[in-house]
Amino acid sequence: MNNPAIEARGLKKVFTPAIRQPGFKGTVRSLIAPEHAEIVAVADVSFTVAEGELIALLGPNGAGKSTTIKILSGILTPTAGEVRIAGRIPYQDRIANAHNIGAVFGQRTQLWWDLPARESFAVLRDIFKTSLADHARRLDELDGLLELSSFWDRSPRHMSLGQRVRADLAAALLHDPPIVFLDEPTIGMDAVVKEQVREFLRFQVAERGRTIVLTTHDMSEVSRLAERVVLINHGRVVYDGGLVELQQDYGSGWQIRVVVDDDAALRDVPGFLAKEGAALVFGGDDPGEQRRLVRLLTELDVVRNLEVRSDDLEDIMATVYQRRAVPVAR
Amino acid sequence: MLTFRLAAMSVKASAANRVDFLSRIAIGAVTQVAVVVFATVLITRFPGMGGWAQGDVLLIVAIRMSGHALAVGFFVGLRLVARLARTGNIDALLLRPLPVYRQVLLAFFHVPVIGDLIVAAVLTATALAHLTVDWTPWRVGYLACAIVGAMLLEAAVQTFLGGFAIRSSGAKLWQEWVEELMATFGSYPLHILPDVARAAFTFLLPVAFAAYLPAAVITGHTTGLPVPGWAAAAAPGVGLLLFLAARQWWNRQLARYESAGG
Repeated sequence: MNNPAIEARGLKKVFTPAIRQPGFKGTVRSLIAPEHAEIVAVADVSFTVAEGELIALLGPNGAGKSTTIKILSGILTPTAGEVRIAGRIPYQDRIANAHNIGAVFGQRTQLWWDLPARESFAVLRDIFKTSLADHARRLDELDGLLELSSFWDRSPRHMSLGQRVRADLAAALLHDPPIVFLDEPTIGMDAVVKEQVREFLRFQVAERGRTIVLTTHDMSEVSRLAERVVLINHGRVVYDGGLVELQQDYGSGWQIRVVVDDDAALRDVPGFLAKEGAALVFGGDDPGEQRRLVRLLTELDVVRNLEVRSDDLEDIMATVYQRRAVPVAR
Repeated sequence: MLTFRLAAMSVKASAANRVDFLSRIAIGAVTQVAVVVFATVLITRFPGMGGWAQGDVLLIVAIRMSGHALAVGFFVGLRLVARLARTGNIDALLLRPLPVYRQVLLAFFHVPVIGDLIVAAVLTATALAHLTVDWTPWRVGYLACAIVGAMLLEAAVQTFLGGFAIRSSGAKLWQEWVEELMATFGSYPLHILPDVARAAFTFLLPVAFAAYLPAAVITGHTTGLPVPGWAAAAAPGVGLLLFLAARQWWNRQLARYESAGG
């Protein structure tokens, strides 16, 4: 990896919120002798992302994904560890770093709440000192991809969630940042808008060469967008590698269920496991064997129904979390 | 230029709902009734207060009110800090290549400030009409500095508490209470108060440096002050120093911002 856009080494973030005991006594006590809890949101996170790469940063709720993204984007200062975004330390060089990054947090807008989105875009143009020509060209391209003009004269207050996130995506990319952080960008969206946003992200990586770090709980999104995933659990990286390798290493293999008119001959085919109701079940670990069996079955006239199953990505992730307690170095 | 653009956005956002906008202007006018009544009673019923003539006391009211109006006009966004921090919306400000403090100040236009400014102008004109002071260029310049100093002192207090508000939403209540306290006691010649209260308003919550001490310097009441004459004369500078210190405190607190949720 010659030019890492993002480098995180040993990131740690500890929050120390005040503990308030219930009742009047507890309130008085918290004023006189406040107690603080210690919440380790990120314990030890290290990874790098190359220029033009899209990675999915995954993990269960509370794993530390959003905190990691906030450290990377310069919102939070890490308790320990090192981070560089395009060579800059984001929390020390925040203003210069802001020109290099765009960010969307799906549950919050960064637009002016009471003003039409187009006016917010114009102010962002001035804030980021984008030329009028570049701004017009980029806005036109973003409009083509996200269909913004149908609602950009509305304020975020009067937009649907899907419209608001699309406007936020445009706002995050108008200054043409090479690195983009997306925290649950498609949360709560319907299937049509989700697909539109996914297509938009594919375009940004493939055509514009942007580096994207994406967090999501939508595994279909991960499988459609990311080739590499970083799994975090309890604030530590538990897997960092390719999605295909993840499925191979941690999946339980393939399974084929087939219903045929006469199943006698198929019981001797390699990979046969059992008969469940009317279906014969085949399984195995070797993808080549799976392909051979599918070819064989599709050539048979007696096949009435054929179903190929692979492990659900969520199940695979659960397996990783169970098996891997030790952090991974990449 | 960008500052004006952002300020214009805030004004436009405030005016997005016309009924709300007009209602806020009305509230602004009503809020200043107490100050106007105080000044009217002072002029019509009392010859002065604590040995100070009507015009002298009115000058305190005018400097404080002018400083307050400017502070509200330029720094009222600090009242939003607790809410911005609680909802995690400071995140968005940290993602833009502008100082967060500046963005906070420009995030919100306080419509009632229009009423504040009008009342401040009327009070200043009234005070000047009642004063028997030789308005040399030095005194005029000092009055202008005093008003700016009063603004900075109020801004310093709100910035200091705003720094707390980045990490604790309870600081919002302190901001409101202290502003009320400064409004209540900032308009009086503080030597009429007991020693303890006078000391508290000089060294703990330095309200005295906003209007009382500069007014004393302008009107020549430099004896019996809680600080030496040179310190009273330096009151506008005290506002500036406290403001710069408060900004440092703000930056330190911002570095410890913890965002919300997620």
